[in-house]
Amino acid sequence: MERIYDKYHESVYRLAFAYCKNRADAEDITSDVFLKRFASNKTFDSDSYETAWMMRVTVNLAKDLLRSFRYRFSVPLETANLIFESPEESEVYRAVMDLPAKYRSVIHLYYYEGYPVAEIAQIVGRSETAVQTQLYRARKLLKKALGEEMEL
Amino acid sequence: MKKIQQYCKVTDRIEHDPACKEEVIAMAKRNEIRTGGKRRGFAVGTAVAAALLAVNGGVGYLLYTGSRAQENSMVATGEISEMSNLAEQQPCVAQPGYAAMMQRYYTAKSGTPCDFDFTGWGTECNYVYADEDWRVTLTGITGCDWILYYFYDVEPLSGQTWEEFQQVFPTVGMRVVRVDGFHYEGTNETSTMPDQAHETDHGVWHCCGKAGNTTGRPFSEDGVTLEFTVHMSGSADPAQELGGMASIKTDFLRPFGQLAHTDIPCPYGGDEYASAVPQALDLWSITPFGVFYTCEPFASGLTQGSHVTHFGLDQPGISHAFEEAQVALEDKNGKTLDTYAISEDSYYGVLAEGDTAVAVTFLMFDHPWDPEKGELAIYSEAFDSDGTVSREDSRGDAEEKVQIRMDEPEKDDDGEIYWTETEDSSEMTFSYEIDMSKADRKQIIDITADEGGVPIRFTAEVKNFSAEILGTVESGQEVKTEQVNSYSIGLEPQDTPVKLVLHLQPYWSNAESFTLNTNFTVHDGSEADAPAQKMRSSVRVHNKARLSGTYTFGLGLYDDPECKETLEQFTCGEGDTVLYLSTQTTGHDTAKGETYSIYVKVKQDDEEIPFSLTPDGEKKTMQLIEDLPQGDLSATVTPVYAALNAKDSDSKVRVEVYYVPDVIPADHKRETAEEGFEYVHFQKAEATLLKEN
Repeated sequence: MERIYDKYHESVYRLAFAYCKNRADAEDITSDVFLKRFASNKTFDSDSYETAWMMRVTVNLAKDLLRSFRYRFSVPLETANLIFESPEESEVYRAVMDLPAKYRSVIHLYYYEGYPVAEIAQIVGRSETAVQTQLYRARKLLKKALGEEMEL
Repeated sequence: MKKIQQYCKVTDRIEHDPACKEEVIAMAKRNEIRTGGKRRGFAVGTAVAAALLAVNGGVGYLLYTGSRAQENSMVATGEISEMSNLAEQQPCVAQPGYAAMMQRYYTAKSGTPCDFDFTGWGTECNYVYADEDWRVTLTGITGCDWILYYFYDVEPLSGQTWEEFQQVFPTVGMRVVRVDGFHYEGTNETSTMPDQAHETDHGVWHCCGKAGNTTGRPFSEDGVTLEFTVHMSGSADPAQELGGMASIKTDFLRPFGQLAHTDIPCPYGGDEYASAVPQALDLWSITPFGVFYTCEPFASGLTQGSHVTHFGLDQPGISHAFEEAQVALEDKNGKTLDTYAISEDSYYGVLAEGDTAVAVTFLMFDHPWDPEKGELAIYSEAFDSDGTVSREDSRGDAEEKVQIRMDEPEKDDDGEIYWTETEDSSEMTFSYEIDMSKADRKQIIDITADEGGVPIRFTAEVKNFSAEILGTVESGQEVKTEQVNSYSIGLEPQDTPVKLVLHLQPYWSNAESFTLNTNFTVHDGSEADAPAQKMRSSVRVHNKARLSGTYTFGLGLYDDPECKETLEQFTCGEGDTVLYLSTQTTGHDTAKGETYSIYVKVKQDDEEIPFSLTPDGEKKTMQLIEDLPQGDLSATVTPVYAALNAKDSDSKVRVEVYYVPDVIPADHKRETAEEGFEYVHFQKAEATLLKEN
């Protein structure tokens, strides 16, 4: 259990945070993901499959939370445990977090976790085309928010 | 320089609380599976001040007993209470004014605390109507496409009493008019200002009114700006009114109601009325504010007089849903033929005799319906004046066992769904969560999708929580007009919810917009074929990919690439005949992605001749010309190697070129060219093959 937790908890937590934008809910989701993982007693053929499963469950739980009405609309970003080293850093981070949840999740998975589009599609349960479209729209929104000098 | 890596760096620094690890592992070891999580945040005070509510003719007003100071105190108390319970209290998210007011309204209405979060379902505003004695301020509007709640403050400027206000303004209403002039008829009616005791809040009365839409045309249609006028008529002669108009864009109205249509048998749809009602009457909108029903105009042809429909509804927390239900019967032009109101007995009667009419029904809840907290089931029965009952129950074994929830599809900023915005995107995805935990036998999911006569290719997948695919179906490549795709997936009972995902790819349409319909039905496939649970979505799709602008194509046929004089006559030589085709496209806007694939056919006296584009290439009756320059004045010369037939007489050789827009899915282009749809630009170049000497 400890091995699994140590291996995935940062990725799971950060993805959950990208969705719900506050520490408490991200921690709840992280806990639930691992509880599901331990309860499922699943065996995976490879680490990558296990990673995808963890990410997928994280996304599902986060989406469930976001579907609740208190999350359906804008929820402010909790910045208490965020450290910004420059104004630009803060601006970029806030711009990403201001994106609609579906966009910031694909941005997170693509740029932070480094997943290819095909794997993101598996994780978020959308088609590759839909993910590509979401990335396109997310980049467009970021450029609109941050100006054309934004480098993606 | 702003870089996306800066997002990654900040994310790197987000630390996960190490204490969580021990907690999770300890819980896992105890095999304690927590289902809900310890949700924190968003403290909503549940103790609200008692309110006085009066409803009269569909418009009520609400006077809060609590002062502003008391309200603030209440919110603060709520926060402290939450803080004491939760060690890691998050900052409270401030609700907009309309949301708080709506909660109080429902609390007063039902007598039980309402904690439904209306944030995002309304707009705040500050429009003032005033004369020398009174100042009325429209402070907020909330609602959906069919019912609007508006909040206004009344301030007596000379210390008058409520009774005096009531005498001066005995009626109140809110007119809603589109900027294009369309008038929402139902909003024109004013209601009597109730004779109620009231409290003041620092000299201001807070009030609430309702404006119902009985036109069958949603408030947010086309995202237009609406003009709202709080209309207070006086008893004096001439009528005394407070003028002024608020122009508000309707983007605050959530599209929920348009997406959550559920097929429910119409009370008029029973056997005994089938011949009298040619159209299906099946459009229901369900929003947190109520159930709203409109139907297409129908020629009632009913001769038996009054027909009464009984509605019932199951939703925890909603006990008197039909307290204020109204039904309006209108002609096809929106003119109200008759209006019926029902009280708590939840019956209404409709006199639909021999006219063409639209029925509009309002079933307002006494508590907002929260889809997170349960399923809504509606049933109805109709019976005519001689007591014959035709019960159409949307509930049944199937529905009790299988529940369906639809995710909102992707929408653009303006709320419309774009099925193609980029070159590589031409499909939409709808997903439905189906709870089959109570299913005790195999379930069949029937799926149909259509786009008003132009069919849609689709694939459907059913996955479980772990994304394992339980069933798939594809509509295949064959696409023909005037055909509706209909396919089924069989599914064994599942312990956990499954997700049905439909990927829809509308076949090429040059329409500016069209309505996309998807339907699916879950039933158990038994001989008895238990009552079906249906879900239908109907969305307006703005088609960005349609062609626009003007196009110019040049085409020439030569017998020698170095000598570009148009070919008129030539003689067939040994082996393949080489024709040189010069194509040129100008005038289209490549920036919009309006590029083309160019297909070529060769015909000799209308007979298709196999040909290739290289000397030894495979011969086909139609070839795609690759690498054609787009939007370029320079012509491209392409050799065509055709095995022409020597004939005893002169024959016509024709090269046909089809410009197929690239927005058409790649695997449809060829058949699109073959069938020569009207949006395929077509050109031909002809020459005469001289007879063999």
